[in-house]
Amino acid sequence: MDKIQGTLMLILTNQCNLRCVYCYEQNHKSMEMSFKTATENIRKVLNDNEKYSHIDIYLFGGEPFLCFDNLKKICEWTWKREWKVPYRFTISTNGTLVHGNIKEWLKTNKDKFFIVLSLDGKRKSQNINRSNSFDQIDYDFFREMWPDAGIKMTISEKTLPYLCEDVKYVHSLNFKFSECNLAMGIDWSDKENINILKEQLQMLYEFYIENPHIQPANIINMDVGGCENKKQIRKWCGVGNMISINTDGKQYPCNYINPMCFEEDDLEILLNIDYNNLGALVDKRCYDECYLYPLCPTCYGADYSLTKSVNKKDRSTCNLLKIRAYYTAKLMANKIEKIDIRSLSIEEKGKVHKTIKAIIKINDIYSNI
Amino acid sequence: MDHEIINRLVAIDDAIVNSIKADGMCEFEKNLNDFENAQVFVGCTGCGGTQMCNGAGSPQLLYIN
Repeated sequence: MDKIQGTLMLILTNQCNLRCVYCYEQNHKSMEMSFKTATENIRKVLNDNEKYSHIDIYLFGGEPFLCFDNLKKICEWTWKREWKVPYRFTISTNGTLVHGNIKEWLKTNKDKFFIVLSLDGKRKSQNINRSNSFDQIDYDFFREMWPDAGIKMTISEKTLPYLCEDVKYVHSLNFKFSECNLAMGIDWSDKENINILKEQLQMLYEFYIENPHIQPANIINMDVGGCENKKQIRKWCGVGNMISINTDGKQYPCNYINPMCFEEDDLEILLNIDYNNLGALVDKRCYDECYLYPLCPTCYGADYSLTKSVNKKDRSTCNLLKIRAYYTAKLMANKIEKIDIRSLSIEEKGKVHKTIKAIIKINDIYSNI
Repeated sequence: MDHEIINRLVAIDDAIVNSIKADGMCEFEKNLNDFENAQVFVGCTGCGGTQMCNGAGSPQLLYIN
């Protein structure tokens, strides 16, 4: 049996010091994972070299640094021991608590972590989306400690009009992007969003044309060539495969489908779904009819929260995805024109070939949205 | 996108296809199949590009043996 790269997600606390406008965690009850629960689960996966080639241990919340003492104890306990499976810790944080002794400890152990910082752009957008937190974060510290780590930017309806400025701002801080996405689980159906997104992506397109050395954020940089792949039903995420442990020690399919995000009756329905049965998860209409199906970000928990079904996608983002695909295609067309094809390997040529086919189709289908 | 850009892309694509065909059509088909296989999502095993993904990126980084 082939070994797999496993994910152990430990939700260390349900509490968060921010109330972000798009947050999908609704029940911030005061609960913390015990040291015993955390280490028992770590011990189990890090000794299972029959099954796992690597393990990613995600320390998650809420805001995980709210329980720093426990987090520190768990990490130090793990580092002190020999394990059969290679691993790394990843912490997803809002950054507001990373000061003083937390900062010192992270500095000492920076090579043992991968950190992902959420930042939604300039002061205005960050403060609109993320509880006035802009001035509470030491951005220089994160960039200096983890220059390869990326920023996770989430765009809400309220910050969409500042998208271009926000993306440019993150670039100006010399951060990389790991994600730059429209918030999921919220209704995007206001038609005005279409015009705003077009305007913003046109400006962003012009920015990247003028600055070709900058790697574009994924809001305008999708793998459109993937639309030319043989179509196959696939799962978007690690739901059902990852080991996601809630503060109470119980395992759930992911960090969305758990008691922080759903009430008991909905959770009961969601826990009875077989997340390894791809047929039960696919939205047939999207699969059958949409050229962009391979690119469409899908979160089964977010879809359920809007449509009460894991296989019925929220359609309020359809046109927005088409606009993203169109501007991505436009940007890629410009890049491809500058490529010297003689320098490409055969694999790269195959990729460019597919990308060109996709650009032409996307231009035909979606240029008039 | 204006037609001129599309026409230039078509010309580039023709050149690519011809250059690969020079190595034999079978190789070309094989290459495309390899490319499709390479498309399987293997990066983050968490949430695959949705906002819930914490964006850890390449799994090859920073593993502790």
